[in-house]
Amino acid sequence: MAILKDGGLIIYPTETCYGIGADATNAEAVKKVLDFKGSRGGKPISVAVFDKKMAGKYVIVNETADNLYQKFLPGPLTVVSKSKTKTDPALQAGKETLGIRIPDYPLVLEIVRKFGKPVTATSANTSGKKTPYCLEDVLKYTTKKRLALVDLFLDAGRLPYNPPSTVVDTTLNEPQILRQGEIKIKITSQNTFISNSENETKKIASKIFERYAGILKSKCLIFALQGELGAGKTQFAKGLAKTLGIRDNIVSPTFTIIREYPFKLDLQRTGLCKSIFYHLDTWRLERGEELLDLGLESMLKPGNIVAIEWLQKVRPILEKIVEKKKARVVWVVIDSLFENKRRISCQSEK
Amino acid sequence: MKKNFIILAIDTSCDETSVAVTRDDRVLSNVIASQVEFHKEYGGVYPMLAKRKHQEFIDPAIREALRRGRVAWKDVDAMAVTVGAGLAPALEVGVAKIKELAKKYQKPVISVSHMEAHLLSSFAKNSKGNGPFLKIKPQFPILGLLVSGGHTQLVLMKDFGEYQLLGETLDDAAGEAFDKVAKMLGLGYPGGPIISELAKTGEPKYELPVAMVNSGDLNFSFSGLKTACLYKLQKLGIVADKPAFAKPACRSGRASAGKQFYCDFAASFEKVLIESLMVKLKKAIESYRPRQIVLGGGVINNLPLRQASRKVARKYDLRVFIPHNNKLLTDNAAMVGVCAYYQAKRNDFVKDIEKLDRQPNLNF
Repeated sequence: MAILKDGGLIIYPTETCYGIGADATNAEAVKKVLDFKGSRGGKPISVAVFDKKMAGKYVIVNETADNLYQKFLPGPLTVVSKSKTKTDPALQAGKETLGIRIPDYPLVLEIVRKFGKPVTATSANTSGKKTPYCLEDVLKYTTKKRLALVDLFLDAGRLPYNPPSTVVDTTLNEPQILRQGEIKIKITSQNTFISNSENETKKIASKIFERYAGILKSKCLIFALQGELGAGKTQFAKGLAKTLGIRDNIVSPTFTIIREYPFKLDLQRTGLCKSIFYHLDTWRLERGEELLDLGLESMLKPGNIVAIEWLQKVRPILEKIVEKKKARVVWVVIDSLFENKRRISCQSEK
Repeated sequence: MKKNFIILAIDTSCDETSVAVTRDDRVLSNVIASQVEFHKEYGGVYPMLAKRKHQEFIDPAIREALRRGRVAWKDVDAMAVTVGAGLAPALEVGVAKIKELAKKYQKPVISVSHMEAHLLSSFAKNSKGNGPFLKIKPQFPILGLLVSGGHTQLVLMKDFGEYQLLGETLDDAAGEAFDKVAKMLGLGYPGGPIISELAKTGEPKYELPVAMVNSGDLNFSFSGLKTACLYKLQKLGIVADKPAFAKPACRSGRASAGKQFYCDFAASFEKVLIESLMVKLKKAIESYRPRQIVLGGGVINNLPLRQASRKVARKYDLRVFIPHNNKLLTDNAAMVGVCAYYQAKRNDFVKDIEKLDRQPNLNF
């Protein structure tokens, strides 16, 4: 305890491997941990706390994190949440998040509880060297200079070989944030359709498209899609592509974020026009503004069509587009009623 | 072609800015920018925006790859860049950089397909020359199963440079299914590692449909498995069954489920996902009679998937090859360098560097 208070380093056993601990709120102590670890490759360092309540002092525990704390902690899991930056910023390696561990090892929990402050939780090896499961591992693979930084070694013999903790980030698509971005559409008999299958969803997409197709002569058309996981947003996009005569198979853009499909738009009178159907998915974006960085504005040319999944994350950007009349936005909400039944409603301001 | 052909390779196909140096089929360095300490160079703030991240990381990543590979610019024989498939604005960063470097250093350029590079990742050797294809030579045709966050493909390789796409996903990639199901369960991101970890202590007792068993072709579909998981979780009361009408507070019934439930559900999902892949792997083996099998892509980190693939292969007396290092599975430039080496051997260089452009929809 005195060692931690004085900014010293301890090596301690956990349910995975030996960890190296220091007062996570003491910049000098954290610096020593970083020196011990060597080149960290810009990776952040997690901290060990005693329980969820203590975690709440240092990070914002959202719904997803709360679920994980309840189910799996203490245990070999690192839960990443938005940091309240009450710990040394060097731990976060430039990011806004902090990883929290509650080791399933009574001795460590007792130390953290008594100490009352979070303790760094990273394996006690120089980066790139062997993960240590016993004292010899540490001594063998660490330079003398680095070992000199350590003040205390809590030896619990050889630990069972358990892999390092699994890291999950809870800040992506936080349910609460998604809800804040949700739009509501007033249901009328004109703007609402019921779908009983993926095929019907595609046909409804085609119907909705036809209503606004005329606008393409002078503007870009954006279909902003809202619907829970599995609601059929990609099916809707498949329906649009089919209507546009695109033969490529439309696959989920979740991983790639943007997929583009060139097609020829048939504008009666003026003839064929070379256009692009952009299929976007904001699911993996940390921030909605990334879509601007990825060139959303350059897509907004007359004749082009943009379908965006998870509009909740970019709603302010889309509203600005509507305001500046840069494109016509059709808002589409897909609600799951029963297993295969969906209610699809749409709306668009002139 | 000369021996000890040194290539500097760049991959900016999606999230990672990666630069590698290869000598023939050996990897001398494989730098993935998010894992390198560059922060000092731009004030310590990690850029959040995808394209900007590539622009800021690429120069330090090139320097670091050359340093770690102990190679100077004058020793570089050619440069390689991924032109597709991927995220167009990200690919543009790599292509623009290669054009700039080609002008500056007057080196030949090789344009590489990201998925071909994944397919050839098992041919990569480490700096000492060790790798999967060491004692055993490649015997064509080779069947490749590529499974990642953005792709799920079966490819027949008749020779280097001669490929036939046999099947691919019609909707979601397998890796994406892991992420989405993890989200339904409230497990955070990414979904692969945590689902695999929970599945270890789970019993696959929930019945889920194996996708596309009777489709008659070699394509995959994982969107159906995703919705099947959703319906199952609704029935079990874990996810509200009428989210449209539920009040936010009662949307989630997760509180009622215990830890074992998560492990069991993860095991059930993982089992069915692997089974969906194996059904098509078997079918591809029977239809095309390959002599060897290679695996590639980030989802190949999943051990039960490796075991299942080996088990299937053993039935047909086939050997499975997996990259020697896990870093070669997720997106990386070393595989691009190795792929480029085989392209250089068949004289497949870019003829007009000015016309080089990104091809976000590039496929086999």
